[in-house]
Amino acid sequence: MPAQVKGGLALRKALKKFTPDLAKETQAEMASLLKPIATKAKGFIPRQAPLSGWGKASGNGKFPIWDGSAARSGVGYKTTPSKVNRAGFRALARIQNASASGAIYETAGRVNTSGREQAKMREVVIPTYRRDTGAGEYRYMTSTNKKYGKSNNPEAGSIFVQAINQYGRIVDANDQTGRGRRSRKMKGRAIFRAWAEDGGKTNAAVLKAIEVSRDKFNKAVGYN
Amino acid sequence: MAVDPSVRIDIAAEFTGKKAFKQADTSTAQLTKNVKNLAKTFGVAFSTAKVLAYAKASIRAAAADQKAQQQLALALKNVGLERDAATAEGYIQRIEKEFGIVDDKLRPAYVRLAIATRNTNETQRLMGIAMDISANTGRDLEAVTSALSKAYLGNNTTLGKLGVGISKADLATKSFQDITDQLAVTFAGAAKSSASTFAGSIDKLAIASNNAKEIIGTSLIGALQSLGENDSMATLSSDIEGAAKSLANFVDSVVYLKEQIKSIPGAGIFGYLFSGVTDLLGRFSPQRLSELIKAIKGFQGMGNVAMTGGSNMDTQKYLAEQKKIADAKLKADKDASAKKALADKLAAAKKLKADKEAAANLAKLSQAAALFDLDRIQIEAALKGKINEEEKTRLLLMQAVLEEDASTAENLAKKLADIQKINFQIAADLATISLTKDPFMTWAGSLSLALVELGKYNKVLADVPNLVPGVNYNPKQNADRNYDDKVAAVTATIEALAEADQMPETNNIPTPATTTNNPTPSNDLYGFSLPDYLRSGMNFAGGAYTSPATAPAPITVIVEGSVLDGDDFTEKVNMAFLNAQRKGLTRSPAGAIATP
Repeated sequence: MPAQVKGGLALRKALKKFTPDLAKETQAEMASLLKPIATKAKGFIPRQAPLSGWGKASGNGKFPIWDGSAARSGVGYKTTPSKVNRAGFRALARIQNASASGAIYETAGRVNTSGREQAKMREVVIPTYRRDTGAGEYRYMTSTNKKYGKSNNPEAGSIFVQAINQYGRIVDANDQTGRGRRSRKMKGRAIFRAWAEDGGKTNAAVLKAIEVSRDKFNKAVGYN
Repeated sequence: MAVDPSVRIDIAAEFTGKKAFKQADTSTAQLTKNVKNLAKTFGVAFSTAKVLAYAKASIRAAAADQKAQQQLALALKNVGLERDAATAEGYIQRIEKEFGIVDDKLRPAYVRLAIATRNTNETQRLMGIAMDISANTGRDLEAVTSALSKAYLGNNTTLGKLGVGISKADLATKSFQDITDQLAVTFAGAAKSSASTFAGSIDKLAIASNNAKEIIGTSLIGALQSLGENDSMATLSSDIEGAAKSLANFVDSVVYLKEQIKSIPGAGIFGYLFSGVTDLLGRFSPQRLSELIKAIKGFQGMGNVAMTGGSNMDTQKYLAEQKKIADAKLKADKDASAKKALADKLAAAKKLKADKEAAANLAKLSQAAALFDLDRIQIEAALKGKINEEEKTRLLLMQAVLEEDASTAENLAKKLADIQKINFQIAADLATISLTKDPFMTWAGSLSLALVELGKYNKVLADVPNLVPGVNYNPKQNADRNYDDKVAAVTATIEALAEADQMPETNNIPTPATTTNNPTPSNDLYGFSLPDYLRSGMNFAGGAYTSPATAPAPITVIVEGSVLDGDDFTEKVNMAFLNAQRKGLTRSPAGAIATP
């Protein structure tokens, strides 16, 4: 849960409407604060594929091919408000890992540290009958549950995560303490690691920048 | 491009309230649910509606079941199987319970097969095969029975389309009996296996519930018909609602009665009334029940009803007297208990005080008696004297024993044992030391004799002229310093002295190869040393040394006890020596071997 602000969106609208220059200045200030984090996060993403076969085109083409440049360039920041999420929040700024392969590198092993569990296979039995052999049956195994991995190699998930772990370990950027369960959604190898290593300084600086712009706006319009 | 929220860090988020509506909806739904649960708990608010709904459903189910039974019976009658109608119904009921298939599906299937086969046994055989095929393939029972009935009549097309492993060639060449036998083998036990699964158990449970509903519905129909005094079902719907309302009134009446009985003094007496008339209350309305309560209350208000017979006044007097007696007895018991407790307390305090005084007196007497305890006095006096550690420990141990101090006594006993052990070891070591020969025993006498002999040579050497002090004799320098004459003079003098003193033969006397004016002769290059020189004054016989008669005898000193220092040792040796002399004892022990 990011730090919650009140009136940030209204302030942004007011800034754009009444003091456009101050609005741009605020945006630039926030960008200058977020850029080092994004740059640092890019450095955590390897150029070559963590697994040699990941960089090659696969047969079915569904799994995204590794592209180190695209993964790096996918890491960035936004200083415009986001859409409303399911919990009803809008973020005034954010750091994101937008590329598909970069997101996989960021989060692989975050849910299951040893890879996705192998699918629970189900045996299907079809009765058959032949004149020469009489009654019989045809059996085969299948699984349609998307929750589980379906690779023929039961160790595929574990090997994948282990290979990526050699390039970077998953770091928890959630520094909250106290009671309650911690979400795993603040864990990752690139942007979350950079955010964790920042130690909250950037977050505080962004909030401070918003407060400063608020004070400047109030002063400009003569509220105080 | 939308970015997955799981790979995004939101900064400075603001709550826009979308969730608030959802939370409000959830809260409202939750509140409604809780209210419903609360109402269910009280069993009042929804009882009427529930009872009404269930009654309607039961009656509907019972009516449908009766209709299906009648249709089955009619169909069987039409195909000439009228006498097997009861058997068919029993078969369907059994199959329903055993395999968890509702009778609403079984009856049409049975009718279809019965119409085709016109034979009860064949119908039931094909029903078994159809249920197995249906359970295995998942196809509807109606579709399977339809295919089988058509196949029985010679149309195998539908049966081939079921996909039950029968080829077109088989269908074309084999008889229906062979085909069904083959199907029976292929799908044997499928229906039973399916019924034994969890889903099958649920189906069975549902069927049991539906059957219960039908049974209740059948009873309700009969009851309503009797209530309405009308054999037709025309007025049934209105009667259903009337019956449900009566049932609701019954529930309300029970709750109302419960509350009212609580407010009646001595309600326990009327408890049996409640249990006795419970069955009757179902037909009572709350109004009638309130009248009953009023009657009960009025009855109690009249009061003074003797439960054990006799007049009311006698009973009251008797009860009052009994209560008075009981109160008096209770008070007397309380007083007696209080007095007894007080007396016990005083006695205990007195005894405690007496015990304390006795203990104090005993302590004083013991202290005074200690002044006259001779053993203790002696021990104290001994401890103040000059004693060693072992003696001190012994005395302290005795003191502890007298004082009956077990722990101190145990410690001191252990300490004393350690000391004794150490002393015993020292004594054993000293005994071993005393048995060794003292190498310096004869030194004093020997040195005295040597000094006498050296005194003789000193004079001769002093008479030698021109002897350079500090210069050793060197044969190479003899010519220069002209020592030959001097040596010859010395040799002559020695020989003269030897003749005069009857010294041993010259050959036996080692010739001094070294002469010096140094008072201490040295062991030097020429194999002539001071011990050899000194030994020249002793007796040699054939090279073997024997102790001269004047040589002091060795003395073996055995010290009993401990020796503190050198002076103590000397004193003890002197004392032993003097005692030996005084007693005329020999200087060597009997059987001692003289050693060189």
